[in-house]
Amino acid sequence: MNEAARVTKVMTRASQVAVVLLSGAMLAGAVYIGARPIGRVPALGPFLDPAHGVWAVARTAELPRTASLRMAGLTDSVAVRYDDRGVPHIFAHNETDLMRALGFVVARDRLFQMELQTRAVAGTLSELVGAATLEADREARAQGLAWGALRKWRAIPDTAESHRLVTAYSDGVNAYLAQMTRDDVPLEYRLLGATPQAWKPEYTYFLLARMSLTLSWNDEELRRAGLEALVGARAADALFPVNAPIQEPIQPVPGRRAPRFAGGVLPPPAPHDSARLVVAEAFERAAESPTIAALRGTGEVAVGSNNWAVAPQRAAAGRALLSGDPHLQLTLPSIWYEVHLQVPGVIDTYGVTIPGGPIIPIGFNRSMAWTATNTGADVLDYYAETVDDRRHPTQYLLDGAWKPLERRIEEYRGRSGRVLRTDTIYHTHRGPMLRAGGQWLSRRWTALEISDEGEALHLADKARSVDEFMTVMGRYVGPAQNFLTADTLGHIAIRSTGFYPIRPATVRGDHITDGTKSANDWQGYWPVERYPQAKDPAQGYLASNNQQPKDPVVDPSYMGSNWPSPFRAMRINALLRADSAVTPDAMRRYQTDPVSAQTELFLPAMLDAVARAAAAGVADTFAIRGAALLREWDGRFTADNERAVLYDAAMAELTQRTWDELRGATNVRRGPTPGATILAELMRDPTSPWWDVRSTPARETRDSVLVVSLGTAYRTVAQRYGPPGPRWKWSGIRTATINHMLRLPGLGRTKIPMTSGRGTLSPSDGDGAHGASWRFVVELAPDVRAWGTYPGGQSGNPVSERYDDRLTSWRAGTLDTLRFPRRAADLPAPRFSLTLRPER
Amino acid sequence: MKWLLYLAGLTLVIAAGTWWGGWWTVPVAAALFGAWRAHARDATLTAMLAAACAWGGLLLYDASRGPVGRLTHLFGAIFHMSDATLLILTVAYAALLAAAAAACARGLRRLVTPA
Repeated sequence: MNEAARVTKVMTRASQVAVVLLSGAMLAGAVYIGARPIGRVPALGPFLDPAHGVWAVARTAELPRTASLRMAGLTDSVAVRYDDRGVPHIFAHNETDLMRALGFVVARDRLFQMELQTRAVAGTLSELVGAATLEADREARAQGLAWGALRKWRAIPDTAESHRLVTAYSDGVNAYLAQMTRDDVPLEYRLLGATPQAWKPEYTYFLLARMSLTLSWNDEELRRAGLEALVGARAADALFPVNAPIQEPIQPVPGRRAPRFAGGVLPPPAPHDSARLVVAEAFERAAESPTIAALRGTGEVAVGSNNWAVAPQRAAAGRALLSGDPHLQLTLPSIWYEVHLQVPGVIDTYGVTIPGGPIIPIGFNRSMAWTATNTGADVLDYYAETVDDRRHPTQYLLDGAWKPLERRIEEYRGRSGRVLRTDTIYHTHRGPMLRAGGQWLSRRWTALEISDEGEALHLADKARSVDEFMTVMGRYVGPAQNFLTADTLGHIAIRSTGFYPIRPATVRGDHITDGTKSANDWQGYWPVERYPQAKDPAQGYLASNNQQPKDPVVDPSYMGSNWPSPFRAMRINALLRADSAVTPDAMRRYQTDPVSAQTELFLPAMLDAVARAAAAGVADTFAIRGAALLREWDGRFTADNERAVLYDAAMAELTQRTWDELRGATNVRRGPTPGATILAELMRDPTSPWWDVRSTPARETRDSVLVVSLGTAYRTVAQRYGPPGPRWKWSGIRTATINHMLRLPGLGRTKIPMTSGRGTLSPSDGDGAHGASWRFVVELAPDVRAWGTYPGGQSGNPVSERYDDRLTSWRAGTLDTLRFPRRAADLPAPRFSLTLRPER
Repeated sequence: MKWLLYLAGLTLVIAAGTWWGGWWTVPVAAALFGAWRAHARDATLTAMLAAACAWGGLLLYDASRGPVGRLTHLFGAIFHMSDATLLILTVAYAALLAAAAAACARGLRRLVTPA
C-alpha cells in the first residue's frame, strides 16, 4: 500500500472514529435527558412519548363510553351511569359496595387533587413538588392537622360504621390505582415526574382537617395583642367587638322585622405602647399564614357563604325551598365533585362531595335538603405557657408543678427523598405549641379533639326529615356550621352546629390565656339546646350569611368576636321579607343579586358630605365630579355598570384613611382592619378622633375624610382607566380568578366578570380568587326538584370538556337542572357508563 | 423505492416499539438499523426520518382520539412558548434519538468491519 493510500485510510478511520464519538456523545446526551429529570424539567423520554407519555392525556380526556371491571372486595355488582353533565349516579346493593364504587369513581376523575390536598395536610408537599413548598409543609405540621386527624382515625373502633365505610372508600380508590394504565396518569404527575401514591383511609380525616383549617382556624388572640399595643384595650374591644354593632342574627328574634343597630361611640385610640408592640408584632407575624390567606382570602368580603330556606306559606308553589351557596377558595379542579348515591331503602342522596371524602356534606335526598354556611365561632384558644428552657423546653408549668412536654419530631423530605429539614414540635395537654416573640404559646382547637364528624355527616345524608337531621347532627363537632334544612313535609330549620367550648368565667376566648393554671382550661362544651337555632319561624324563612348567630339581647354567651359584617344577611332578609310568593327562579336570582346593603349605609353620607363641602366652597373638583357620577349610580354591582368602580375605590380610600392609627409608627404595618360595620358605627360620630389622619397637621372630621376619599378615588380611577366611560365597566374590573391547584398558567381561568361587590350576596375582593363554590336550589315537592352549578367541572383532566364546562352557567348566575333518577334505567342516554362486578 | 421500503419498515418498527415498549425502543431500533445498514450512506437519515414519522404518526393517532390541539395550547401556556413547540420538540426528540443512535451504531460497525 502506498503512502497516499495509507494516509487516506488513516484519515477515513479517524473520521469514522470522530463520527462515532460525536454521535455517541449526542446519543448519550439524548438518552440522559430522556431518562433523567433536569431541574424542574421531567425526563423527556417518558414525558414526550406519544404512545404513553403526556400526549396520552388527550386520549384519556373523556371516560370510556362503556366500561366493565371487576373489583376486589365488592359483594355485588354496582352500576354507575354518568348523566349529560358528567355526574355519576351510583346504584349499589349495599353501602359498603357504594363507598367502594364512590372511591373508584372520584379517583377516576380527581386523583391528583386528592393526593395534593392530602399532602397539604400531611405536610409532605415537598416530596411531590420540591423544596419550594417546605414552608407550607412546616406550617401544616406545626398546626398539627395530620397529627390530629390520625388520632381521630385511630380512636374510631374497627366495628364502627364510619370506619367500615371510610375503609371501603379507600379500597375503591386503591382499586382504581391498581387497574390504572400508564395512559391514565393525570397530567400533573407527568409534569412533576411523579407517580400516584396509594390511598389510606385516614386521608379522609386529613381532608376534614383541611376543612377545619379553612373554616374554624381562629388566631384573633394573636392579632388582637398587636392591636391592643397600638390603640389600647378599650379601643381594641370596640374595633373587634364580641358583639356585632348591627344585629341581623341567624336565629330570628320574634317580632323583629329589621336589623337592630346596637353600636355606640368608639373609645378614642390610646397612645402606642412601644414595649408591648415588639412582642405583639411577633405574635402577628406568627399569625400570618400564606396557606390560610390562600384558603380564606385576606379581605373582609373575600369569602361569604349564604343559605336560606323558605317555608311553604311564602313559596309560590306551597313547597319548601332551600338555597345553598357556600363560598370558598376557587380552584380548578373545583373543590366539589357532584354525585348521586343510591342503595335502595338505605340511601338515595344527591349532592357534592370533597374528593377524598365518602360523604355528601351538602345536598338533598328524596325527603329533605341541607346546606351550610360557616359559623366562624371561636373554637381555638391560645395559652401563654411557662417552660423550663426557652430554647429547648422539656417541661411546662401547670398548677405549680412541672409537667413533661410531648415532643413530635417532624422530618421533611424533598422529591429525591433527601431530608430537607427536621423540626421539633412540642405539645402541652392542650395541643401543639408555637414560639413567637420569645414566648411559648400552646393552642387548643376543637379540630384536634378526638371526634368522628364522618359518622354524623353520613347519618345526615340519610335523614328523612328536618328533625332527624338535627338529631343525628347533634354529635357533629366541627368545623361549626350553620346547617340549614328543609323537608318535603314543609318544615324548615337551622342550627349553628358544632362543639363550642365552655370557658371559665375569667377567661376570654379572644385573649391569650394564662397557661399555668388548669382552672383556665375549657370546662366542656355547650349542650345542643344552647346552640343558635330555629325551626319553622313565624316569619316563614330562615337565612344565614356568616353573621353573629344570636342577638346578644337574647343570649349574651360568648361564641366568638369580630363577626363578618351582616350586609349580606340584611340584603337577603330584605328580599325574603318583601317576597311572599318565592319561586325557585327567584331563589336563583337572589344568589347573584347585585345590590349591597352596605352601599345604602355609606353612599348617602358620602354624597351629603360632598354637597356640604361644595356649598362651603371647600370641596375639591375631583370629589365634586365623583359625587356627580355616584348620584347617577343605581347602587348595583352589575357587569355593565360604570359607577361601581368609583364607589369601590372610595370605600377602599375611606377604610385606609380612617384606620391609619392601626398602621403603627412606620405606617407600613399590616395589622388587621376593622370590618365595615365598625366603620358604619363610626359614621354616627362625625367628630370622633378616629377620623383624624395622623400624617396631616389638620384635624379631620368624618365629612372631610369622606370628601377626600371620594376625590382621591376619582383621581385614582381616572388615572387607571381614563375618563368615565366604557373602561370603567365593572366587568373589566371585578373579575374572578380560578387558579389551578398548582397555579400552573393555562390550567386556571382568569378575568371572569363577576356580579359582585362590597356586601353583595356574592361578594368578592382582592384577586377574586374566592367566591361561590356550589350554588344550588331545591324545591321540596313530593318529587324533589333541584338546580345547581359550580365553578369548574367534574373532570380533573385540563383538556377534558368536563374540566370547566360549568363556568358558563356559574358566571351567568344560571343553574343547571340536576337529574335525580330513581333507577339506573330512568337516566336517558347516559354519557358514560361503568359496571363494577365482584371478583370471581 | 427500496429506500422507501426501509423507511416504512423502520417507521412501523419504531411506532410499534414505542407503543409496546416505550421511548427507549427508538434508539435501540435505530441503532440496530444503523448497524445493519452500516454501508448505506443514507442509513442515519432513514432512521431519523423513520423516527420522526413514527412519533408523528402516533401523535396523529392521539389527535384522532382526543383533544391534542387543546393540549398543545395548554403546553404553550404552561411553558411560555408557542403552542406548536412541544409538538415539534416531540418529533425532533425522536429524530435526534434515532439519528444519533443510527450514526453511532453505523460508525462502530464500519470501524469493526470496514468495507
